[in-house]
Amino acid sequence: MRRSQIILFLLFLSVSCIDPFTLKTGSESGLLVVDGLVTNAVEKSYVRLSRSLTFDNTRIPPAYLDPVANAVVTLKNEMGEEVPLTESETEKGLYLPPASFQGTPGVSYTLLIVTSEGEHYQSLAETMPGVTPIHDLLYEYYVYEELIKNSQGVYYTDLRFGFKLMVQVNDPDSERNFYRWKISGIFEFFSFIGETWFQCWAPVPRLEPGIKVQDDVYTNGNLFTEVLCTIPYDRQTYYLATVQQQSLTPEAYRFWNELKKQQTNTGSIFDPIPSQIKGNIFNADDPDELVLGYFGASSLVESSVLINRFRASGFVSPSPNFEPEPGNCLNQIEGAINIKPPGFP
Amino acid sequence: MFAQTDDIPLKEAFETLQRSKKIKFFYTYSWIENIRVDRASLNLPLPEFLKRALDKTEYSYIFYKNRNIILVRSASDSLQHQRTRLPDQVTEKNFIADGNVYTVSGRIKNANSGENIIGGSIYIEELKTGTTSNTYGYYSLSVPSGIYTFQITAIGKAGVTQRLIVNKNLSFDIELFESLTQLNEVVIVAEAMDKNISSIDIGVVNIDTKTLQSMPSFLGETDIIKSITLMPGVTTVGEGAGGFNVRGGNSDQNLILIDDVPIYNSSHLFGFFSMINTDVVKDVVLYKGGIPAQYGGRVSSVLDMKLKDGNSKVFSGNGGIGVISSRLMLEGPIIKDKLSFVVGGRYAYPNWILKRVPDYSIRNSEGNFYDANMTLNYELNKKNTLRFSSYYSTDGFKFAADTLYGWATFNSTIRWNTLISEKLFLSTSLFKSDYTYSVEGNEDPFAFKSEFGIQTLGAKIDGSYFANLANKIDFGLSSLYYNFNPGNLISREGSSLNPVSLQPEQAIESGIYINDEIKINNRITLSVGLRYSTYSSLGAQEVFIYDPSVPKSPSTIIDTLSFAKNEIVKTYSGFEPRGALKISLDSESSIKVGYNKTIQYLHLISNTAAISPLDIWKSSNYYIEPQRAQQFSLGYFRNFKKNTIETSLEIYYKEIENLVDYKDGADLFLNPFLESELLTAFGKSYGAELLVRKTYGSLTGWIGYTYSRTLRQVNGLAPSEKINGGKFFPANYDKPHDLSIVMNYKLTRRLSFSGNFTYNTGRPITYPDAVFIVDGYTVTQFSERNQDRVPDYHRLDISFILDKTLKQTQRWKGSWVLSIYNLYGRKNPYSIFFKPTNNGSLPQSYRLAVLGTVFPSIGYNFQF
Repeated sequence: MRRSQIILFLLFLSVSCIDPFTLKTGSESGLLVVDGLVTNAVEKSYVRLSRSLTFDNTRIPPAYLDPVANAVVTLKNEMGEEVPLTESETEKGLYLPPASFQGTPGVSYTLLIVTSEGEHYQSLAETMPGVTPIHDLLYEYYVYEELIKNSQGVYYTDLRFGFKLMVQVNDPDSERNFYRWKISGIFEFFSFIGETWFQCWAPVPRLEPGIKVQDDVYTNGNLFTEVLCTIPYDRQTYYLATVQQQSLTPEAYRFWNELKKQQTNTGSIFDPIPSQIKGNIFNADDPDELVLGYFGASSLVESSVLINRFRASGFVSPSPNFEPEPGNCLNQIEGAINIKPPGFP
Repeated sequence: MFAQTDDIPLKEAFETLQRSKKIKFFYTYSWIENIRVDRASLNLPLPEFLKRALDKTEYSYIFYKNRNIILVRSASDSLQHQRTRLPDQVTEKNFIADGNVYTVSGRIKNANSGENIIGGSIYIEELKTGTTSNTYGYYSLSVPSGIYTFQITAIGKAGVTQRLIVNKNLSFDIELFESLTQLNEVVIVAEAMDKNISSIDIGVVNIDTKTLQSMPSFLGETDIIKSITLMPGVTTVGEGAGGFNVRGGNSDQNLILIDDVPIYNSSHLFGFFSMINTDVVKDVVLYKGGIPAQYGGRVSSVLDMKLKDGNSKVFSGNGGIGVISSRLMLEGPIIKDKLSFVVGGRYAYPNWILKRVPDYSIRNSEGNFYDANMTLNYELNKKNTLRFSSYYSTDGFKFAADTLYGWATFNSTIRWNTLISEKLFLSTSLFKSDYTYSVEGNEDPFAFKSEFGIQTLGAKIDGSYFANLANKIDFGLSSLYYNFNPGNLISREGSSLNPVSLQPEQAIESGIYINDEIKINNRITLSVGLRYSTYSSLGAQEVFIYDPSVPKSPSTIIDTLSFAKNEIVKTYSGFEPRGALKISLDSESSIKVGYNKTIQYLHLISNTAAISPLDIWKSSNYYIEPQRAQQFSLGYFRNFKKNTIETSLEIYYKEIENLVDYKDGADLFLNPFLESELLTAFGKSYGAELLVRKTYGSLTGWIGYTYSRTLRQVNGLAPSEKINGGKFFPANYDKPHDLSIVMNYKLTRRLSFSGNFTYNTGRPITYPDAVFIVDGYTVTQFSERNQDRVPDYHRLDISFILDKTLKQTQRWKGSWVLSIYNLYGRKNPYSIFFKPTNNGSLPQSYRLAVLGTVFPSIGYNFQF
């Protein structure tokens, strides 16, 4: 029902051609980029400052941050109380509030930034909306086809196996609600050396294929189900998926939704013309200066679900079958640990 | 003694004479099958023989290039009458002019089918003046009594010269033959029409449906709208895009009429094909400028298509079988020369192509479309004609298993044409147009159906008063009632969606106009017109009032106004002056000047590059003001080689106020606060159009070149209400250089070759100028809209047409058409887009070519 669903140019995919080409544009590098969030949960609020880069798709590695260090970053609430943020020692450009800091739903926050060059930036005030609790998390085994282009440029489809992860929300009908979901996972896997088996767990920081936001314009007051992501069925092991549900202000929703549209734009004739994504930060001394990014205030709730993939699939073998490999599992996947995380049996 | 009285059939006589005298006769066999002549008369001089043979018949003849004799149906009964009876009283010898002014009027008809000919020319040699037939084939001339040579010509028809003694008001109906292939690729004309230089038309394109059919086309589908885009001044956003842009106007600014009824969606299958079967269309005229006062409601152009009246003489039909669709059209008399009908239909079967697409969701998609026409034309008597016509078109597309799209147009019109006197002609129509579309989603738990539409009920009267030789006055009034459905959402059982219903809008639009075409002298013609239109948006409606000090948004609503049913919410109105001036420089060239002001009260809400089939028609209302445009044009027209080569150079300047534009990232679908997403743009465009057209001979076609610019400006008060900081920027379809070459060459009498070549500057697009990262996502930054361009567009299409038979006697005539679209397989980039290959990576840039390969197709057309 989304407009983007009308990707009808695909109709002529067999005859339409999409060719990549190299492009370098832009002199406008170096704009300030603010990626900030204040939440009601501990250790989830952050502000990341960086500079934009020129568009140059020949550059390797593909994307990196150009951090803005040594800025003075302050969070101010509607009562005028200020919370200073301090730059992380491990990551340049990342500014964090004191570890115990928690925002309060209903309170509005403003971000103030003074760069090392002495420029003053600030955000518009964001009033943290309350968040609707997660009603339930559901999953469902399914087989789907994926379109793949081989090295000759010929398209073919391949079967894939996975679990569709869904969230159920009982939307309150008293107000407009805007949601954002972030999903992370931890999966269990095994390895062996000779006769000895090793058990490890590895994290997947982001499971959603793109920005996942929704408003309740069509679902206000209803219990609705939103499909979040696909959890791959590549091993016959446990998978713990954690869903973070955030509340958004209407302005933040617009920002993230535009970003989502940009990421899914196919360039077809029925796609909106690309446009600038406007944030809520400005230079206090020069309102004409373009500042990128967004400072948001969100409440959040989290819920997890453990999937026994072997059982839930009806004991079907995944294909291709990921067999345990010889060696120490700690070295096989980045970030793997051998201490059982909470939530696993 | 031999029986010298023995009669032989006329056909036999013709054949004998053809052999003995090395001449050739052209005729319709059915006319002469009952005519017999005295064998002895074969020895008479030819004119004497013909006079005897055709005496007391309704036929006469014309000589063409000495050795060809063409049988024609003589004008009307009255003329016949005059010719047989009058000689006793008045002949050219004893005629004495009485000094009075008389009216010669009548209709110009197609002799083959009995249909009226639009835009046929009647020229009086002695007076060096003339007129053209109107939309219904009717003409009227006031001339002092005298003896005159009338030349009657029309595009694609054999011309006729006739001497007439005008000593009273005459009714003079003329029938013209279609130019016959049998005449060895020569079209008979007394002299080619000089309409290009003699008419007051500026910015007007006539498209001959015959030419359309010989042009190469995409998958063999003859396409009126795609062909129009090959004319100077007409562009399109890209291949596969619906709609067209005329002299810098948006695609919703074209008034597309089928038999006087407006069409709101001009394409099938999202824009790949036009909505009408070319076979049922009699006449197509595009007004790019110099829009006559009778048309109103759109600011940029009028595409007026008239459907066939139906052959009132014999039953006939034609059709075709193609790779995408097949079509059939039947026409004929129900009561000979009185009541005729046309029924036509086209059915498409694109599914077999979809099935070959590797993508799963496409392979499982299904599409279809069809359209149908029906016309009844009833000539009550010589002065009154009744006509009913109806058009139906529908499209369906099922995207994978879960989303269903449907579009339908259903138009009907009933019209009464009456001749109150020789000088006053009236046409009264009632019509109805219904355009609806829907989207259905069957994906649980979000099953829904959404419906949109626009309905129009209209009535109009158009009149022509042929005051005297110097003044032709057109006048009329019209009224339209609109009902807009801007969208609803019906949730299915078990769906977690809430129903949504945007309030329907009603409106009434009325117009009144008068236009006088004044022949000041033989060289100067002036056309002065004035139209006044008024539009009221009607309740029931709720109108949100926003805080005027800040940009509109749902959060700045401060009040709501309620309007009762049929209460006027807002009224807009205005005068729309139209004018044109023609000055003939000599017998081969003229200069023309045109001006028109136009107002448009409807808006197509669309923020995509091309119009999409899900765009919403919206009424002017409390917030949305009508679009107003004015255009100045100046042209130099010159004909060469006895009018067989027409050339023109036109320049224009156009301004449009109150164009609808959109805030960045606007959400337009089912948005009850739509006005808060809209911006007002100002548009200006200018250009020069050069056209060289050859209409006669074995090589026909045209070369058109346009240089033009189309610019937009959005400069609101708040920064969010500005685009590109309020500076002018190129519109999506701004293509400065545009060249089209269209040609048809008859290789032999049976085989012809056609080719189109198109070149234009790539359309503007927005390039990114930076990337940045938020929350792990790499975002592309676009700051200035439409500052770059896709690479230039060019394409060559060719086709071969093989007529299987040329024999006049053979009833079934078939022809094969081999078309190759995009002969050299150029991957013309439709767009360029920027997208990360996966999360967090730098966006890559891609070129998308919609029809980036060679498309051969073959079709079979037939007529009987």
